[in-house]
Amino acid sequence: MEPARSEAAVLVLVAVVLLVSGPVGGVSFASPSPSLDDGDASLAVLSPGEADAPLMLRPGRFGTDVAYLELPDMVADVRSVTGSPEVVYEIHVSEIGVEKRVRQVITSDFEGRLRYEVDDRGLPRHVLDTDSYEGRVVVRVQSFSTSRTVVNRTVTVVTER
Amino acid sequence: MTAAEDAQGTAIDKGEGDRERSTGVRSRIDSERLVATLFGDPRGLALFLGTLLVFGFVSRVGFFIIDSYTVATTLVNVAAGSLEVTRSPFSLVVETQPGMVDVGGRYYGRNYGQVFVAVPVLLGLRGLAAIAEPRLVLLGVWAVAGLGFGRVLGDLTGRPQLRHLASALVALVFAVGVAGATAFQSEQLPIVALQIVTLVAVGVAVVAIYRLVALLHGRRAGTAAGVGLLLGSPLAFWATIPKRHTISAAAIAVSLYLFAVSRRSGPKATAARAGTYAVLGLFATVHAFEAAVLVAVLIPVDLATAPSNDRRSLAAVAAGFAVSLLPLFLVNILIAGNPLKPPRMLPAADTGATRGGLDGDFGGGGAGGGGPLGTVLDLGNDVLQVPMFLLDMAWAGSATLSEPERLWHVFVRSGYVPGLEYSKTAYETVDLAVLESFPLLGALAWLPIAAARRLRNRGAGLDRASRTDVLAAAWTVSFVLVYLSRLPLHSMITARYILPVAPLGIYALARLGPVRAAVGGAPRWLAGGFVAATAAVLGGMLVAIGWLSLAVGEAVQLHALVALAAAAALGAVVATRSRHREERAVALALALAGGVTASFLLLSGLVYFGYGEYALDPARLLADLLPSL
Repeated sequence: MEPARSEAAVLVLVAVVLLVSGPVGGVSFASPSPSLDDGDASLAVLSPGEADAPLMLRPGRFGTDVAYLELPDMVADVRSVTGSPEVVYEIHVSEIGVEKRVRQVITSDFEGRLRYEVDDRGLPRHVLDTDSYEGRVVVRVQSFSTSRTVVNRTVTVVTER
Repeated sequence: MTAAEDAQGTAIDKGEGDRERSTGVRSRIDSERLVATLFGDPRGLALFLGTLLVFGFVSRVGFFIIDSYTVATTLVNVAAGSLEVTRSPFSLVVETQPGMVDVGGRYYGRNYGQVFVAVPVLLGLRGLAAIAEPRLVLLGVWAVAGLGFGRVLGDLTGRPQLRHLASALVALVFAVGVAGATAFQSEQLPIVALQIVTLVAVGVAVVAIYRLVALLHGRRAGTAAGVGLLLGSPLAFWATIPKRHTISAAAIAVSLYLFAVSRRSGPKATAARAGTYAVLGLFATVHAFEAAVLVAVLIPVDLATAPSNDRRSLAAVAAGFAVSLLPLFLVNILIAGNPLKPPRMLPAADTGATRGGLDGDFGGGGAGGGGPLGTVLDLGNDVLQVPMFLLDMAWAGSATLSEPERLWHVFVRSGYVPGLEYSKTAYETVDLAVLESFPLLGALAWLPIAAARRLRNRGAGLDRASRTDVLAAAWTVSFVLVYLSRLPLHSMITARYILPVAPLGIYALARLGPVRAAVGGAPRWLAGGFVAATAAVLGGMLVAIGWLSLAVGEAVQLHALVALAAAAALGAVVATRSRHREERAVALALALAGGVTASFLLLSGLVYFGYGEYALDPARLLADLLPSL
């Protein structure tokens, strides 16, 4: 096949898909982001767990000379989703100004494992001067009609120097 | 390639065109002429399309820096037919947007020249989004650029199978994008329009440097310089971030190219000389003070090195420059009522203070008396303020030369910089020094040797290239000096205030004998080494991120240390090289340094810096496969 023909074929493909996706074709290819509404879900939280090691506050490496709080990912098995609730994961270590919140709306077609990957949190170096802090982790399911706390636990933050 | 060859380029002989009668042939000739005019030749076009392809793919739509809110807000208003800011779709509060100015209770934005260029892009995107799903519009635009790149590359290399391959890859990416498409809010199209403008500016800078180096040293060196600027310099980090820096870089690169063209006699040279100024005049509508710095340096260098300073040439140059300044004057009159008062000289909307041209303090700006005399005094006051402010900034920059620690952090090693406001970057040490973000500059270790040789041969006089060297050096020094007192600073990432001289850095490398010898004598080692180094550093960093659980600042600093090692190796190889013997070693050292930067650019888009959302869903799906920080 001539190269120009393969290029023309791809161009036609692109043009047709674009036209079909618009008001003329009326076909929606893009899945919309779900928005919060009424609803509920059943959650079994695997991480952070009660037997987990304390959170670590460690010095930065490679010349960064700051401190990092290692935050655990949240992993949960989700079942029986109705409507469009959201799963909220919060980590609070108020003494050093950490108030981290991650949230995601899930819909009734979602069932299975939900994972929130949380970046380590950068902090000024002087927070390493204290041996330990106390923090709290919270996992909630909430919607316009529900607010249910699944995990609400105190955690210890240990400083590594 | 000789200068005469370049003068002709790939332009088609006019007589031949007249003889052709076939419409198809004429059309082909027209398109070749267009390519020759805009890109120099098909290689230039390939570099331009490659820019769109690579950095369009990894682009994110969102606000990386809060300054972009102001530019996007300005665009929304200008697209609606108003210079005044009366709509603010991206922020509830208008007056706190950085750079917003207050003229008697009316708010005005910033970077109007950048915004004017983005208006037709925005209207085009809105038109396409009216007939197709906006997300797929972005994917479709990328696909067309991909097909174009494949076609040019296939024709350039004489391998038609590359065109088939490109078609297949584009079709695959498009299919993945359609299958995994997520909704895209049309309200974000102004941001995309600005991103397309800054992306195109990178392409323009790359093409200009390609043409400049090809003019002086042939197409192979030009190609290496173009690729070096695109993938081996930090310029493309800002390709899709709506800031002025890539536009500044494009203005500098195009202006320098035209300057080099103008260092020969003849009508074409006079037109190019006028163009050198006109580009900066138009750029003044984007950032008047950077343009003022560049013009202030250009005038004496131009007059001292021009083939002729006869009245006719000077009149042509003056006329071209005056016309290019009209958009600036018009905007200033419409906003401030004073052609010499750009928005940055007006009171800030939040504090009422005058921000100043270079993001520093700027004194004065008070209104003069009424009547014609008052207007004249006002104009005189404004005319004097600009050079005084620039001299003040340059003086402050010169004073920092006695601060070795500051210079160390700006140019060599960042790490943790005392005094920087890390609270503004969430305590992530992501602001790199110049050498860390641009390790290819390690080859400048050869500069003292080259300078010594040049001094020994100073009787030879200045040829075209040497005259261009003078302007490139003067622009680099002046641009760095006026910003130096502001550095180091948070949120610079790649020392972005002085990023616009990145094309001049690549030009400097292309002028070094050992670098050109490596490009000419060991091109396969250079190209192969570059691909291998990029892949190795990219893979190595991904492994390190997963294995060591790196945070963002740690990953960026580890990458910086690798860059410094590459820069040191390059400097050592270049400085200790014996003549004509070690092209391969220099080529590999160049490849390693370039590969470190290329991998940084790609990882910045896919892993290091997460904000907003990916413009193209295939990039999002690819990023999901990679380890996260």
